[in-house]
Amino acid sequence: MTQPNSHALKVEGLSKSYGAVRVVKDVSFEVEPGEFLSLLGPSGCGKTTTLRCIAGFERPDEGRILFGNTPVTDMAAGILLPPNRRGFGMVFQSYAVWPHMTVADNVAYPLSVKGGLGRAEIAGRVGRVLELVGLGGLEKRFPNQLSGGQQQRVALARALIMEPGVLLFDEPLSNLDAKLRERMRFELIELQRKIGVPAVFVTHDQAEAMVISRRILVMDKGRIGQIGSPAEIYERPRSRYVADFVGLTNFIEVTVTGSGQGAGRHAVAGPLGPMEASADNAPVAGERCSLAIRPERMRMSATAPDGPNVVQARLESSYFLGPYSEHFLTAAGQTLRVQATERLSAEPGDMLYLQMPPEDCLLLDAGE
Amino acid sequence: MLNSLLLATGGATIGILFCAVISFLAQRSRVPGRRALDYLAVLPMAFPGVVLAFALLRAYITPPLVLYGTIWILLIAYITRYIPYGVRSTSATLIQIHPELEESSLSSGANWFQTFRRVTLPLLKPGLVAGWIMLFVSFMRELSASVLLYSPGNEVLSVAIYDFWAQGNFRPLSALAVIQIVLCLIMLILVKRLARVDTDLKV
Repeated sequence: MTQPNSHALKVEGLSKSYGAVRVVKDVSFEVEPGEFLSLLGPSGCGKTTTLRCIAGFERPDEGRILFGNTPVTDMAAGILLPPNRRGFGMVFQSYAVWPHMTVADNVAYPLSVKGGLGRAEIAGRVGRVLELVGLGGLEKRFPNQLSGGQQQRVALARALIMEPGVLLFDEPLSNLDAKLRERMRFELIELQRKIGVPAVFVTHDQAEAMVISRRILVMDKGRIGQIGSPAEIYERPRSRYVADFVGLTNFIEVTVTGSGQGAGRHAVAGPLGPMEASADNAPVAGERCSLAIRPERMRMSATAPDGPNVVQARLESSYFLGPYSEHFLTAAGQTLRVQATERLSAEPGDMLYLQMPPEDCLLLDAGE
Repeated sequence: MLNSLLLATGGATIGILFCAVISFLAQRSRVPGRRALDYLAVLPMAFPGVVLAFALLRAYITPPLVLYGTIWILLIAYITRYIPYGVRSTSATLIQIHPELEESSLSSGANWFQTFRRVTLPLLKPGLVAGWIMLFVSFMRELSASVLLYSPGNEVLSVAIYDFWAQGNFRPLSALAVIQIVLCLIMLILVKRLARVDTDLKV
């Protein structure tokens, strides 16, 4: 099944409007063969439109899409290959398997519309692909006799049998139940590794994007918010929007007062008093910023610890979730969310000390 | 009687295919004027059959196209009059067919025609059958337009029944009415049988 002649997928300067609304604004990225890239964002951020432009269902206003060195879309040169001539396999959110065909007919469809293959050859390849997605022996069934997960596998098999140059996924797991979704993630990664073509995966589920992709592209109102590995996106978000969308974050509005102790450290002042924080860019004194810190990076204790960024806060409520506990505290009118793995014997109403390590306090643009 | 059967069968078939094309254009294509087409397809419902028939009479009694005196003017009248019902039936089914079902065909490498023939049309079948039956039955009993447009030799069942009634000739009238009902029933059963295999597969 591996594709020896696999190429990278390149998107350059893609823009698309519906009427006066620009849904995709100058988006560029590249996906290597064998790479899984996720387009992540809330609904309406332009991720599905981007994917549909790649598939050829949408006509972008500007930009180029190349498979290897071959343009499949090049608006400046007037090239817009129809979807059926791109050779890209796509898996849809609604599965989109045809209810009037058997499983075997569904999967054989891409081969039979292409023509030139014998019945035995087609049956053999259908059998192999169904085996690959774990549906061996279900050839004669109709889709309405299958579960949602099985129907999605039929859709996947149908996309794989055509030996696509690129695999496109439009929220394929969002209609499955939680357990199955979790298992399918790992199966998709395994399959993708075997096939070795570039894959673009659209999702609004950040956990899914984290697990499945080598790189995540966070989309923000049609633009690229940030592109990077899951760890980079989570630990080094470049904007308040990205930090807010990926994972949970506490934001504290602060003003930069000067440089701090050590490279990349800055002194800030905010409702919780003077603090130290890190920043990738160099904010100037007087600039207003959002200080972002993840709930699991805050340390909670009953006695005052040494070091910078210690504030006193009142415990409002605690929730035990199994692997960790969730605590809500207030300090200077600000609610702070803390996740801690160690058990703490404190009651709501108790005053506790919160430590926020400066290396985990990120200064981000305050946003609008 | 043969006239009626011919008109109803042929008219329903041509009519429903015509309706399918209208629905497809109005809902799936990006042809300019598709909204207007959708409204236009409802318009004939506003006219009484007699008014419609009179308009057709005026249009087709003078050259260039003289259809009065032939069976074709009845066919055109029937289809025109019942297009709204046919289009409702095909549109309602088409709306339920998720566009992704057609898009997945395109991304599988099928062209537009292969997609229409192998995916859209089979999925549309329940709507086509239901619409066909409705048109067939309506055409079998259509009177208000027929009574103006028929010509000697082209009488349809309902016109014949009307004539007998006008003459007070009730025995042949009853016989014809029974035949009309039985014909409709037979066709209904036949078509339901033929279509059952496909409608059962509807999800």
